[in-house]
Amino acid sequence: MTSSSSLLLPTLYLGGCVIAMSGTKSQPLFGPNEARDQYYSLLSADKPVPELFLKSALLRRGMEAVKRVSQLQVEKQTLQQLMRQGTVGDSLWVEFQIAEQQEMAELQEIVGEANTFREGWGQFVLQTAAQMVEHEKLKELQVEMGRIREKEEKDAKKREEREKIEEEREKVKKEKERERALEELLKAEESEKKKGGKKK
Amino acid sequence: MSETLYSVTISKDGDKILCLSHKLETCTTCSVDWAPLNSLAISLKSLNGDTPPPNAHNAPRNAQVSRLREEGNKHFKKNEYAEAVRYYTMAVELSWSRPLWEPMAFQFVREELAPVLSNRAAAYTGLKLYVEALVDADIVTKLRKDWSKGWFRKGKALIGMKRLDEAVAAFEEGLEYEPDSEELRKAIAEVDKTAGKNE
Repeated sequence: MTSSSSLLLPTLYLGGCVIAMSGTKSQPLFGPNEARDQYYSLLSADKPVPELFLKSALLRRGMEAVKRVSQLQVEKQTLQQLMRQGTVGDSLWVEFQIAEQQEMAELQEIVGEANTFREGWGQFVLQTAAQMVEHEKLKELQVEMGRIREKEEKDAKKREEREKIEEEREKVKKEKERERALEELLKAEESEKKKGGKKK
Repeated sequence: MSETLYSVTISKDGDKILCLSHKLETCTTCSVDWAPLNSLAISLKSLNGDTPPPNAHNAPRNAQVSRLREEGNKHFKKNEYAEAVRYYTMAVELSWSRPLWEPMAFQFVREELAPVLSNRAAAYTGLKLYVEALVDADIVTKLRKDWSKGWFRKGKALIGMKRLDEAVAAFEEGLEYEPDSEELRKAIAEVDKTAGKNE
C-alpha cells in the first residue's frame, strides 16, 4: 500500500470529525462513554454490587479507553498532516490535545481503580483490556461469517434459478429448431415426390 | 468528564445487572445495555473477576484444538471429507469459545482459525459444498490477508461455482501478497486453459 492511500481512510474519517468539531464549538471527539458510566453507576449503587461486576465493568471501561486511545493515535497523524497543509486551524489541534489528555487521564484512573481491587492489578489491567479488544474483533468475525454465508446462499440460489430458466429457454429453442428442420425436411421430401410423380 | 448514572438492581439468581425501573438487562427506555457486562461477568465468575496476567499460558485448550485439527487432517488424507469437516468444525468452535479475557487468546485464535478454516474449505470443496467452502476461505483471507492459502481456497471454491472471473481475481489478489506462490500461478494458468477450451 502506498502512503497516500493509507492516509486516505483516516482522512475521510477525520473529515467527519473535523466538520463536527468546527461546526459547533465544543462538540466532543467521542460520544458518551457508556462503559465508564456503567462502572460508576455500579460503584455508587444504593445497595452494594458484588465485586465480580465491578471488576468486569472496570475491564469493559479499560477496553473502551484502549479503543479510544488507538483511534486518537491514528487521527493524530492525519491531523498533523492536515495542519502542515494548512487545511485545519489551531483551534482544532487544541481540542484534539484536550481529548488526548482526557484519555490519558482516563487510563491512569483505570490503573488506580484496578489497584483498589487487587494489589498489582493496575500493572496489567490495560494490557488485558487491549488483548480483549483484539480478541473481540476475532469473535465478531464469527458473526460476520454468518452474514456472508446468508448472502452467498441467496446468491447461489438466484444463480441456480437463472441457470434453470436459461436451460429451459435453450431447450425450447432447440425444440423449435428441430421442428423447423423436420418441417423443412418434410417439405423437401414432398416436393421431391411431386417432381418424381411428374417424371413418371 | 461527567457521568450519567444508571439505577440498577441485581437479578434474583444474582448473575445479572438489570435496570432498576424495568428489571431489564437491555432497556431502551433507560437507554442502557448491561448484556455485554453481564456475559463478561459470567465468564469471570469462577475467578471472582480476577483475570490472570496477560502473558499466562493456558495450554490445554491449544492442545485440544490442534488435536482436533490433526484428527480432521487424518480423515482428509483418506478423502473422508465429511468426517474431516466434523473435526475441523469442533476445532473452530472450541477456538471461538475461549472467554474474552483469556490471556493471549487474540493471538491463539488467529493462529488456530486460519489453518483449520483453510482445511475445512478444502474439505467442503471436496464435498462440492462450494458456498460453505467460499465462506470459510473468505474468513481465512480476513484473518491472514498475506497468506496465499486463503486466496487459493477462495479461488478454488469460486471455480466450483463457475465464477471464473472472480476466481482469477482472488488468485491475483493472493499473488499481491505472495508473488512467488507457485500454487497461485498454476491455478491461474489452469483457469486460462479451461476458459480457452470453452471458447
